[in-house]
Amino acid sequence: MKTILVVDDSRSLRQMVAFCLTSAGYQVSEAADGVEALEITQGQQFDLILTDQNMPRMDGLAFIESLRTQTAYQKIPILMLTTESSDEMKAKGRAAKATGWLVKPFDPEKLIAVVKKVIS
Amino acid sequence: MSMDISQFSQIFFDEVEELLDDLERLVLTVDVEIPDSEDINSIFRIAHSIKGGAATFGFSDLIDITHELESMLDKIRHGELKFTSRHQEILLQSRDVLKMQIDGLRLNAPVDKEKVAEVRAMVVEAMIDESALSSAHQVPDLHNEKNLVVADSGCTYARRFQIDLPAMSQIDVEALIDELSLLGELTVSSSNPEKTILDLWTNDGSLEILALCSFILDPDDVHVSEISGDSALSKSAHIVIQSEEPEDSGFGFFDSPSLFVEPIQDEIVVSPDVSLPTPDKLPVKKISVKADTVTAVAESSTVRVSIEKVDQLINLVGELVIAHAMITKRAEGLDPAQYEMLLNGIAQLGQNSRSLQESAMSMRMMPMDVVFSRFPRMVRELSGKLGKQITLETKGNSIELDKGLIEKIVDPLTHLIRNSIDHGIESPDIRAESGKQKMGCLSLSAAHQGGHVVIKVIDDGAGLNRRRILQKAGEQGLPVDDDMTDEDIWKLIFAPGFSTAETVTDVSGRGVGMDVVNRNITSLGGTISIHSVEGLGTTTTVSLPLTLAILDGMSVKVGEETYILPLSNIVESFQPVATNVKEISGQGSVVYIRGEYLPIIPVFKVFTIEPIHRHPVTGMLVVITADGRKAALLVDELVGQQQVVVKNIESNYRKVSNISGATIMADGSVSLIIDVNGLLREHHTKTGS
Repeated sequence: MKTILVVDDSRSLRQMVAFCLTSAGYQVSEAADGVEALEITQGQQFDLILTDQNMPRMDGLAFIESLRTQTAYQKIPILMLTTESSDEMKAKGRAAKATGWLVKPFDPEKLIAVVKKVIS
Repeated sequence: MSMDISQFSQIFFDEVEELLDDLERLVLTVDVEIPDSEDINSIFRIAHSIKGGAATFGFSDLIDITHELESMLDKIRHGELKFTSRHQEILLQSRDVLKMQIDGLRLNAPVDKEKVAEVRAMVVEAMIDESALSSAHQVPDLHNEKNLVVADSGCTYARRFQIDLPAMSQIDVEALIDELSLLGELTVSSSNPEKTILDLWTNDGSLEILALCSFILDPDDVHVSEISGDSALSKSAHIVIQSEEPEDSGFGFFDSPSLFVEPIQDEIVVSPDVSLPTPDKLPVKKISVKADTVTAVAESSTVRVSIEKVDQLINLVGELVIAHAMITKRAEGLDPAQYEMLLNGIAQLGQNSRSLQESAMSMRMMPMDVVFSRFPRMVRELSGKLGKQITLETKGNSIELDKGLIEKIVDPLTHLIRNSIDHGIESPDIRAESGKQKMGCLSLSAAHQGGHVVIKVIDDGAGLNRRRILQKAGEQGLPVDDDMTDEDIWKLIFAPGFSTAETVTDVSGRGVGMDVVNRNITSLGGTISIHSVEGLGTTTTVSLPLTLAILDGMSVKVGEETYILPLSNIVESFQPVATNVKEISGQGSVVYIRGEYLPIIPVFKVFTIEPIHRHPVTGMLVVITADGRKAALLVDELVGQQQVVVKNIESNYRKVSNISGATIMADGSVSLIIDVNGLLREHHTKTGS
C-alpha cells in the first residue's frame, strides 16, 4: 500500500485530506507542521508528501528544502497544497525542489486524481 | 466516487473557535508600538487558516471577511501598513463577527448581516487609508482584490451558459444584459452588430434564460447552450470566478521531471500552458454533500462527550464506591485467615474503584484558564471606556476546577473585576497625585489550599473607604456603629442594595451586585472575604470546594441518626471538663477552649431528635468554623472520617434548612450532610452574639 504524509496546521483540513486518501486506498500519516513532519520522515519512508505552506514553527518551503537534503527523500514527489499561487511562490516552490502544487481549496475527487497522477 | 466531507464541518467549527480564541489572545497581548513579527505572522496564519478551511468546507460566508483580514494582515507583516490600535480594534470586532457567523452555522444562531458588512467595510477601509498614504505600488494589489467575485457577492452558481443573441439594437442588447444579470454573473464574451455572445453563471436553467429573452426577442432566434465545468475531474458546483483568462485546473507540476520516481515520469504532462493561477481566480469549489459515505477517520487526540454522559458515569462510579463500602462492611465479621483471598479481593476492588472515581471526576475538571481568558478583553474595554490604564496579571491558570463550578464562577468574578476597575483603580491623574504609577494593576490568581481552590482578585486601587461605607450603610438603615472592625465594615458591602458609588456608571454602581456575588459563591459551598487598605488597594478572596460531587466528611452520631460534617469546616473535637462549660441564661451554654468562649449548638435540638447525651461533658463537642464564625456542635459520638458522594436534596425533594445534601452510607442507609454555614449563620442571628 502506498504511504502518504499530509502536513497541514489545520486539523480539519488534515483530517479531510487524510480521510479522502484513506478512502482511496492509501495509507496516510499526519503532521501539524514542518518540524513534526521532519521528525516523522526520519523514521519512516513515504511515497508522497503533501504539505501546506503557511504553518507555525516551520513552513512548507523550509520543510521541503530540508527534506530534499535527505538521501531517502531526494526523488520522492512532494506536492504543495497552497492558496498562495503567485509566480513568486511558484519560483520559491521550484527552488525548494517541490514536485508540483495543488491549489486550495480543492475537492476530494481532484485531490485523488492528482495524487494518482503522481503515484499510481 | 463521491466523498462527503460535511462530517469534518464540526471539527472545522471547533478549530475555528480555537483559532478565534488564539486570535483574541494574540491581539490583546501584541505590543502596538513595536509589534512582534511572529505575533503578526501568527495572526495572519489564523485568518489564512479560517479562510482556507471555509473555502474547502464550503462556508463561503466566512471567506468574505477573512479574505480582507488576510490582505490587511499581509500588508502589515510585510511592513506596507503600520500596525495601530485601530487595527487591534478591528481584529477584535472581526473576531466577534466570525464567532457570530460560526454560531450561525453550527447552532443556527441569528447572524447580524449588517454588522458583518460593517466590520468588513472597516477592514477594507483600514487597508485603503494607510496604503494610499504609503506608496503607489499597492494600488494594483487592491485592484486585484476587487476582482474576486467571491468577495464581492459571496454567491455561488452551479451552471454556466453561453447565450448567442442575433443582430439587434444596442439598446435592446443593453436591456437584455441588465435583465440577465439578475440571474447571476454575466459577462459579454463578444459583441458586434451581427451577433452578441454572452456568458452567464447562474443557478437557473435555460428555460428561465429563454423566458427572459423572449420579452425582447423571438425565442427561436436565441441560442442557449450549457457549458460544462472547467475540469473533467470535478462535477461540483463553482463559485463563479469572473475572469477574462481561461480557467485552469488548479494544480500543476514544476518542470523538474528528474525528481519523479521512474514509472510515473511518463504520465506527467508538464504543459507550459498550465499557467499558475493567480489569487483572484482560484477555482473555489463548493463541495457537494452526499449521505452514502465511508466511516470517518477517528479523531485521535480528543473525544467530545456530552456532560450528561460524564455525569452519568460519575454517578455510577459513586454507586460502585458505595456498593464496595457495603461489601466491606458485610465482610468485617469474616475470619481473616479463612477468607484471606476474598478480603484481599475486596481491598483490591476498593483501590480500583477509588482510582476509577478519581479518573471519572477528573473528566469534569477544567483549568481556570477557561475563565481567566475571558477577562483580558473585558479589562481592556472597560479601562478604555473609563479612561483608566490597567494591566491585568493572571496566575494559576492551570489550576483545575469542576466544570459546574467553572461555569458558575464566571459571573461573580466578572462582577468583582468590574468593581475593581470602576471603584478600585483610580484614573491615571489621581494615581499620579497620590504618588502611584499611572498604570494600575489588577491581578487574578488561583491556587490550591487544602480541599479548596482560592481565587483572588487583587487591585492596587484606592481601597475601600471606611467612613463612606459606614455613612452609606447608615443611610440605608443597616445596623452600624463607628467602633466596628474593618472586617465587619467590609462585610456591609455584601448587604442587598448596597453601593457607595457616587454616580451610577455604565460599568457598575447600581447596587445590585455584591450581595448577589456573595449569594452565588455561598450557594457553591464557597466563601468570599475582603481585605482592603485605604489608598493601597483591595483583595477579594473567593474560596471554592474543588468539586461539588464529592465531600470529605466526618460522620457523627446523634441518637439513632448519623450526620455528615464537611471535614473542611471542622477545627477539632474534644470532651470538655465540666468547669469549662458555662450556662448563659436564655442563650444556652458556652464552652471555654484555647482562650475563647464558643457557643455550644446541640445538634439534637436543631433537628429535634432524642440523643443519648444531653450534656456536653458526657457527649462530644466538634468545633466547626465558617465565614470566620466558630461554634461547638454537641453530638453523641464521632463515627469516622470518609469520602461521601453528595446527592442533592433540593432537586429531589425540597430545601431543608441546615442540611446541604444527603449521601448513602456503607450500610445502605441515608445520612444528611449538615450545612455548617447555614447553621452558624442561623445561630448567630438567633442569639445575636
